[in-house]
Amino acid sequence: MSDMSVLSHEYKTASELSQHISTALILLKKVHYHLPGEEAIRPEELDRHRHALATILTTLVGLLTVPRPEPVTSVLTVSIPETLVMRLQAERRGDLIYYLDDLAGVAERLREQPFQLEGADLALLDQLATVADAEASSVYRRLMRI
Amino acid sequence: MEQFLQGLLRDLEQHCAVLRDRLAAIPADPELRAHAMKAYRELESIRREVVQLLQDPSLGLSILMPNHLQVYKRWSERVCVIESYPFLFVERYAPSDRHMTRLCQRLTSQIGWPLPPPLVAAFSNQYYWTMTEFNIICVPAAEGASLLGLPDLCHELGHILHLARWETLVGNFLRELASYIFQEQRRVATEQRPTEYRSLYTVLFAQWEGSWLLEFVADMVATYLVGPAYGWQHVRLCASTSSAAYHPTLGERADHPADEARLRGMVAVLTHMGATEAGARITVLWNSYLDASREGCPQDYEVCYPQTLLESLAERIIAGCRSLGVRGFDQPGNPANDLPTLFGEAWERFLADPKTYAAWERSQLETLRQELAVGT
Repeated sequence: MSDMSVLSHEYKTASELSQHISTALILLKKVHYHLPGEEAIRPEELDRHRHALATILTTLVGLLTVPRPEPVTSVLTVSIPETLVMRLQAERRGDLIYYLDDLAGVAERLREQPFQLEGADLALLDQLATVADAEASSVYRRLMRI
Repeated sequence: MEQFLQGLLRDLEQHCAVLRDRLAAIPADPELRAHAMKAYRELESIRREVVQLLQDPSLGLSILMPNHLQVYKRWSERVCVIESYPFLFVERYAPSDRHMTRLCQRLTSQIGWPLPPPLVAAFSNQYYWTMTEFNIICVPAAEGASLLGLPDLCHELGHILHLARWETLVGNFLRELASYIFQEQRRVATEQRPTEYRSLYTVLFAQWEGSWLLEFVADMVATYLVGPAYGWQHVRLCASTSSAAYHPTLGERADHPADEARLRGMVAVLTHMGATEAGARITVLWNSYLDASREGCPQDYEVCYPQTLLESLAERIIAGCRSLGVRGFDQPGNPANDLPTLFGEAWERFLADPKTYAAWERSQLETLRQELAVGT
């Protein structure tokens, strides 16, 4: 009944998305740059995160497309907050179609050609992680009235 | 920064351990067990992940620093949320909380609730609210001393059911909503609407999807459960909180949909469940309230809350609740102690004779208190 119920739901969604992206990105970077700890990553763990991240990106491309042809539904284990979509639409207003193309390309490589991921792809994912982090922090501060 | 992040992680590990140990020190109580255990497990799980990261040889590498910092923030926030909500509910569980929890247990057992009963605390400073993922509900301190506001407990139950049984309750309603928005946007393309409306429709869809749908579903589940009592309580709440009945309209933002549209959603459920007359009575009172508060319908308001969508959602919610085996208000339970029946009777008596209502309510609450105190 109060805003708390809606906010707590919003926070859960934003927080889980941010955590998924950051965690997957850490694994991808470790493998791509052969960082310490790479050897401890199990292949199935990497595959799971890789595919989950690809699904997030594909869903995001659908949500960012204007006008949205029809509701984008998927089998995501995490949802994408509408506020994050709007934040990205505002931030990438000038180059949205190129951004969507880039996101779709990274999703494709994550899914089909993980060894062809490049530094630029990881940089794009880093930008997305930063936006997701900002969104989660923003909802958290509203929830906790900070 | 590397050393600072390490320090933050060690501090978080310690914080998890403190909360975990305090949870473990709470005397065993069957009503708290599930909630205490969930909080305990999650804190311990985060603590172990923190320890694991502290042992990770990549911690401190500049290329991973932003990501590790993000992960730390999410853990830290999560611990703070647990500390601020379920932890407080469990550690400070008081007699008034126990009363409300037992009342909710009775309600859920009577209506065939398909989920574990929530833990209810009576110390809210933000009216009724729930954190669905923790299965907790918070209500104002004196809610146990009145019957009129208790239908709002069912609204919070509606939020919990919505999260757990989204598909069953809502189905492909979002697709229907998107089609409607698409049609409206085509009106812009055919110059039936100003071009600046296009972005307003995008925001409208986002609000429906992001939060309004949650509220409509919770309202409709509550109406399904306790019938007209929830509609009457909605009018009471609006009258006491004085929020604008038609806010938000097109171009405005709010976490909750407009009270007027919410009321129409409730009446739609009542109508579809055969309580047309009760719906009409509530609408009459509502219209009188709007007249008295001098509220008028703004331009383009109807575009935000089309009746066809509300009707469709109402049908989905009723069908969803029925398929889950949840008992609706149209299937009365044992009249001797049935809470939905009691809430309905309370409202009918209050509306019929407010002067004598208080004495009747006191006696009902005393009986309820005695019954729920058994086993304390």
